[in-house]
Amino acid sequence: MTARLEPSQHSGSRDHARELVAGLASHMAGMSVVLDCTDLVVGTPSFLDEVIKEVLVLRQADRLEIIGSSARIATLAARAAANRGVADRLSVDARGINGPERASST
Amino acid sequence: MGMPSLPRGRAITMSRFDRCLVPDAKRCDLADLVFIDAFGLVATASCIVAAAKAGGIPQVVLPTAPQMREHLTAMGFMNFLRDIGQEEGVGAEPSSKGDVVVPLARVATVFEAEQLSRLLWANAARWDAQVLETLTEGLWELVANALEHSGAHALLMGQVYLHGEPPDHHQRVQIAIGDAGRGIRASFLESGTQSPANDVEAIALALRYLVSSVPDPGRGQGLTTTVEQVTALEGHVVLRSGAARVTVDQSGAQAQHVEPIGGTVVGISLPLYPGSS
Repeated sequence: MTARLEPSQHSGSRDHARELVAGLASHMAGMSVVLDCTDLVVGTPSFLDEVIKEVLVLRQADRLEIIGSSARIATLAARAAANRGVADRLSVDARGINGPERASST
Repeated sequence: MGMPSLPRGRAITMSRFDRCLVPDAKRCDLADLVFIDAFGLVATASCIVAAAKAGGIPQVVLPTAPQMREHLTAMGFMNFLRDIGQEEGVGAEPSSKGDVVVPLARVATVFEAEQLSRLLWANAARWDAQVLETLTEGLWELVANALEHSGAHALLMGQVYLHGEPPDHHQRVQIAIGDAGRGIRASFLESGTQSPANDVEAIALALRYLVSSVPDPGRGQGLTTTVEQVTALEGHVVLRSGAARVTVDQSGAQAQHVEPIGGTVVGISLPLYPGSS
């Protein structure tokens, strides 16, 4: 199963990240999450770090896939995942919507 | 302990702020003011809030020059004064916003930063894209730091300077974020994660990647990443906390011990078009 997250255009804080993932299950082993950054204008290191922490560290999702991001967002996400030792479960498809089909959260 | 320092002078700016501080001042005398930049304004407002916390709101003497009063209105200072209960804060609407991109704002929650982020973005359509991205990221990260670590509200302002004096006021943009909170050193000490001996050492620690007062392996990125981005674009960052001032640019960091203030102020100065000079 795959859950899909779509951050608002200006998503800069850890609080925004926690609000974004609030609807996800608390245990996500065996599941994937897609973070669709197509409409994201402003993201920050803190926002991305918190998304990665919440999805891959705390909820233990199998995979976080970031799609439609800028090169900057891709770099920040990769850095945050490396800091938390979960880089092997992150994939980033910058500025290309070639990931999974659009589907509602499950 | 005496009253905290308050600024006084003709030009209160990012580079001159510490020369304007008057220790144990009972009032904030801006009568002779002819120029103040975003850093100067946020630092002044933070000092006024710190003084108010220490012993009551100090008297603020406004500039005698009508143009300067109007400019302070455009910068949001009169609204700030009104919000803290100073009658002088009630003034006429300015005829122009004077290249103010974000008027002085008091931020109580990080969600309020979203409105300011949108305002900055809306006012900066012609800027270099990397400059805008860096400033907006910095705005978010520094507001979040102020709110999380200072124990106080954040103050924020941004302004463009098209035709002023170098280094900070010619074809540059400046944003500043301040607070009248406990300061970076106290934040580290109270968390028990670090034990900086003084304010200069505390700022140096805060500038290290993944060093934070929050014991979490991913924390401590925001300030470092902001500084990294700003200096890569030929800009500089001034960090003012307690009795320390640290300036970081492409050549490295320079630290000074200065007159203490209550709280922390961080200013970012960036060229509007890096590489064009």
